[in-house]
Amino acid sequence: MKRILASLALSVLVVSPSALAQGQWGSSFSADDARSARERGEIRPLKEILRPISAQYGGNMRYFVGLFEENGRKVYIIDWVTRHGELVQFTINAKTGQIISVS
Amino acid sequence: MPDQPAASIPADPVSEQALATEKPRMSLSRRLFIGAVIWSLIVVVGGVIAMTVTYRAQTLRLLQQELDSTLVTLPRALDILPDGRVVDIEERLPSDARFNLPLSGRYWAMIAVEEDGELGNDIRSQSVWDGPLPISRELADAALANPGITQYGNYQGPNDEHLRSAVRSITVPNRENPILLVAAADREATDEGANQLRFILVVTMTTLAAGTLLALWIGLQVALRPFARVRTHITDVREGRRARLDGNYPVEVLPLTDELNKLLDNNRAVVERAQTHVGNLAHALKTPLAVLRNEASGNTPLDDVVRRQSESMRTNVEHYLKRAQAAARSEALGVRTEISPVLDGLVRLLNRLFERDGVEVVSKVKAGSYMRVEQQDLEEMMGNIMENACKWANSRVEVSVQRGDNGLMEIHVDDDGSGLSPEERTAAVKRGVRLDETAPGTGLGLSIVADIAEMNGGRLVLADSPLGGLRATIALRAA
Repeated sequence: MKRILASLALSVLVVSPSALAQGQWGSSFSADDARSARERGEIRPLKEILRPISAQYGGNMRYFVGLFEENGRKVYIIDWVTRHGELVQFTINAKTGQIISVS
Repeated sequence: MPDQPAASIPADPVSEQALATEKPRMSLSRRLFIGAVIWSLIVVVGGVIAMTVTYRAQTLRLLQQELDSTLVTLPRALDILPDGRVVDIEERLPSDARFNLPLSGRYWAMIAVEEDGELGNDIRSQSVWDGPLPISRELADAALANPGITQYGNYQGPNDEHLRSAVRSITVPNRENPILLVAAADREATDEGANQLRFILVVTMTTLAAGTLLALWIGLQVALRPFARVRTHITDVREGRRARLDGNYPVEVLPLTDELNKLLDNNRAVVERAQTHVGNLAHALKTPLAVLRNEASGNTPLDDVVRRQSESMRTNVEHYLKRAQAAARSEALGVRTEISPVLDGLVRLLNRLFERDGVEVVSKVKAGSYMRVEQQDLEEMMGNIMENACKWANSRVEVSVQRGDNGLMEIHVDDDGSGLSPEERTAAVKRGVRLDETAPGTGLGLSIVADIAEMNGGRLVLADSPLGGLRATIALRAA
């Protein structure tokens, strides 16, 4: 993907199918999309979403799957390693920060 | 019974208390130790600060080198179009996985600067995600003011972490306005390392200093112990338990003890010489006085004068002879006399002598009390006092013993006579005053007692007696 840095350039946003995207999730959003969405108030900042998880489960993010559109709402999907070394995948509502599912 | 002031002739050795009330000087060892403590503090604090600062700067330098290498690779991913537009070539961007994981603590960004110096569009690493760029306005301005030179600063990161940011302003062909290159890294690990090092340094250096100081303190105590021993030995000498300083002293103390021994010997020699002189003089005068007295046997006024004056001289000479003898005896070491046998003997003798006057003498002293005094001196003193008491008593004289202060023992001799007024008491212990011209005696008795008591480190005190008359108390050192 190419991004235009110059101020004169049109900001071209081409959504490329991410290799990480899993079939049922449609396509993932890029960092630029995430920033715009946050600035518009559609999603909460990622750090605010991660903080309660970090406090509750300990450990840290192992792998960032991405930000997806699912049933009309944006969700973060992340792989997390807890303080006990368990690998879990969280699906989190990006607007409210609530954990939708743990697997 | 009203309390009247007691007349006494106090012994006057330099007492411990008098020394203690002086303002205590700081001891050498304490001064040395406090100096060492202050020095240790300076070294520990200074050392910890210096090492921590150095370590922190060094690790920060390493972190900045990493940031620099990122800054070097960033421009390679830029493709400048002929019209001045810039696009990035994704496969040439820094490949570190941490740049792709959101909020990982490693970030980079390339920012187009606008005409007016405002920051415009940017390309950023995925790790920044939706957070703010890791660059402050001041840092951006500093970089723009110094093109091509990397500026470093601290900034709060997208995940609220403490970042070290490196910013450099570059210009590219076909573009008028510069591009800012930014790289930032979480410095928590670095700071953590420095803090850990500081903690370890504080613990180890404090332990080291404490150990050294402890060793120093112990060493000082050990080194100064001989002085304490010398001091107790000097006390022994003063109290007559020891003649000289003959302990096994270390070489450092020997010069002192040798000098002290010489001083002691010298002192003793002087005192002995003086005593010998007094004794010789008294002896030399005795015979001529006796001759004078015998020659003046007539009835003329001159005879009378000579008789009376030579008598007075004789008593004086006696007094000084006794003093000289007592002084010579008090020099002897380790004397101790049990008082009850002496008192019992005197009680028997005086009871016989004063039976006709209806005076009864009683001793309440039990066996087992010892005093540091020659038996002869004790007999001289007690004989004098008890005889005096018998002379003035109406019917009863009591002898009792009591522990006094400062390790002294007090022997009280009480009578039920008429007692003395304070002025009379003061006069009584002054030599040559006769309390009653009609009473037999030389008038020197009490002053000799006071002298002998003093020479033995004690004293004579006159006070009111519970029996109603005079209480004469001899205080002597217990043994």
